[in-house]
Amino acid sequence: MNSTVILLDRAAEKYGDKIGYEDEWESISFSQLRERAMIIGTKLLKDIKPGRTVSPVIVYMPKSVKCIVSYMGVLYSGNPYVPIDNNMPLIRLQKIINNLKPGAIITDKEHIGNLDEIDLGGAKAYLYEDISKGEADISLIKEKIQGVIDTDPIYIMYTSGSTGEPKGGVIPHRGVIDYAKWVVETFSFDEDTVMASQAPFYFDNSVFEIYGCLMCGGRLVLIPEVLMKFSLKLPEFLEEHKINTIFWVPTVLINIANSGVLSKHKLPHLKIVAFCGEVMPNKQLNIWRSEHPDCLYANLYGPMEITDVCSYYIVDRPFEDSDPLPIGKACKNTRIIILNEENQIAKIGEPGEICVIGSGVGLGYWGDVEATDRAFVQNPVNPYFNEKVYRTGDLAYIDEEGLIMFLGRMDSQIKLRGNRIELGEIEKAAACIDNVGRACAIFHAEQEEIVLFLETAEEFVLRKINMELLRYIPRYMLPQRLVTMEKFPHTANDKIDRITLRKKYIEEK
Amino acid sequence: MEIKETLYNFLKENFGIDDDPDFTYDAHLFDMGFVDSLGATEIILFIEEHWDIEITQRDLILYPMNTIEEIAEVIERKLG
Repeated sequence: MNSTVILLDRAAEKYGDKIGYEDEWESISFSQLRERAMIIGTKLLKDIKPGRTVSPVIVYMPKSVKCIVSYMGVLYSGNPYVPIDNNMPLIRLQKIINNLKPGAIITDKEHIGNLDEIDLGGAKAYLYEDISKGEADISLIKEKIQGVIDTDPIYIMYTSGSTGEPKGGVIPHRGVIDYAKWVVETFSFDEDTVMASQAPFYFDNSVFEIYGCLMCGGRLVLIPEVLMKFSLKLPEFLEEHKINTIFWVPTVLINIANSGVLSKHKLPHLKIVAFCGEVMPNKQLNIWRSEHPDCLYANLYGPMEITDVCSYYIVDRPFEDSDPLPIGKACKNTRIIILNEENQIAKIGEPGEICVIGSGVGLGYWGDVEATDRAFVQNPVNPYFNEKVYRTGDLAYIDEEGLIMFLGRMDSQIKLRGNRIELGEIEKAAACIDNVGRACAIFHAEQEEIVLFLETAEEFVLRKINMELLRYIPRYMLPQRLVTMEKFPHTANDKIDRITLRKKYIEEK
Repeated sequence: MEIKETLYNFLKENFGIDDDPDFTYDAHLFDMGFVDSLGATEIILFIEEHWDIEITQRDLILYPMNTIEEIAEVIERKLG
């Protein structure tokens, strides 16, 4: 198999009219998904000008079944898809389009107007309503798909970049094919698997759900976006839809545990609770485990630069509330090495950087050779043959049992409520506000808040600053606290004295 | 006290909203940054306790609850 979309051909053949995906507006069988996706694929194939190996296609719509149809349609055209948050600030979208140079954009009636304000660089914008109607040219598609190789990109997802420019992680087909197989095997998914999708599609956790279901013939129910604000109502939703599998970001599981709602709503159908995206504290996991002792709990780990997940831990013993939870061992067909400061394999218990090797490793950052070469490097302990490792920038050690224990970041990248944020991107955005000199963002981990410091003589309030920041950065990056001052403290070599700022305004507060 | 007024005072007190001309009954609580993502749950818990009603996940999907005006409408419907 070379193109992942062959998984859809198989699912349509094997499971046909079985419902595969549903949202609050529609549900769709595997055969319908294939039919509609092929119409989109045909249209794109006929319209996109040849010239590049692949022409990425942006899908710019709210999370819905239509997005999945579009992704599959793009794959049938032999190109990678790029899921984009429909609430993204237009300035940020422009940066992405400038970097990506997309071949086309698929959007809907509510969002096509936003694109008038952007230079699309010649890419054509299609309405989903139009592009999903017409005739499919199956032989044209078959011919194209045969030419796809498994090292071609399947999707590109953008994440926060420290320079203020979003970075697009490129993932190959082989990574997703491998991963989908691993997901289904590891969790014994089958036709009776019913998942509730929490993560936005522009986060790679969605790969688990979309392709897991495609592989096993299960059903994926998309949680209405509005409910994500009210996480204490999610158990009710799980019950109504008889969900047996969830793969969510810990923040949501933590909020549900803290709200006390688990003792009120029994979830008799739930069997698998997997999570990924940030550290899951045992305190809240223990609440889940005591309310639902029969579920299987799994802690997964993986940055966006690899295919969703590279290590996992099936929770198999009790933990104290204050214990850290292991991120476990490498997934099948993946190798993880921990490199210390000397670029040598770290000893048991010695902290070092998590480095990933295998088919799931991404192809770098789209259109950014320099950033790619910094993070995707020749394995420093292998002088014998070409072996790329992805240096995650995450710190960990291996314990006595051989399990990987996550420690934190090596740089200023943070995780807040499951979102990956570069503090530098917030600082770049804040410095664009009128009457602001320099800006400095510091993360206060205990309080889970980003504190923004501004050099200014003006009186600013946080809410107004945040309304300005929303022109440049997504909502999840907004600071929770604001401190203004006329002049920042300095270090001896004239840099902003971040240590003093942290001590004086965060720790002593 | 009128429902909207009760909500207004609750929000003002619990989300540190100063006297702000933008904070009105029609102001979008989330888009305009008066309430952050975690605050939504607090609002629901307050409503359920104060008026002794249950806001179900279906209510949340069916009816927008982004402004004081909209939330009050849902509460009124529930109180019937």
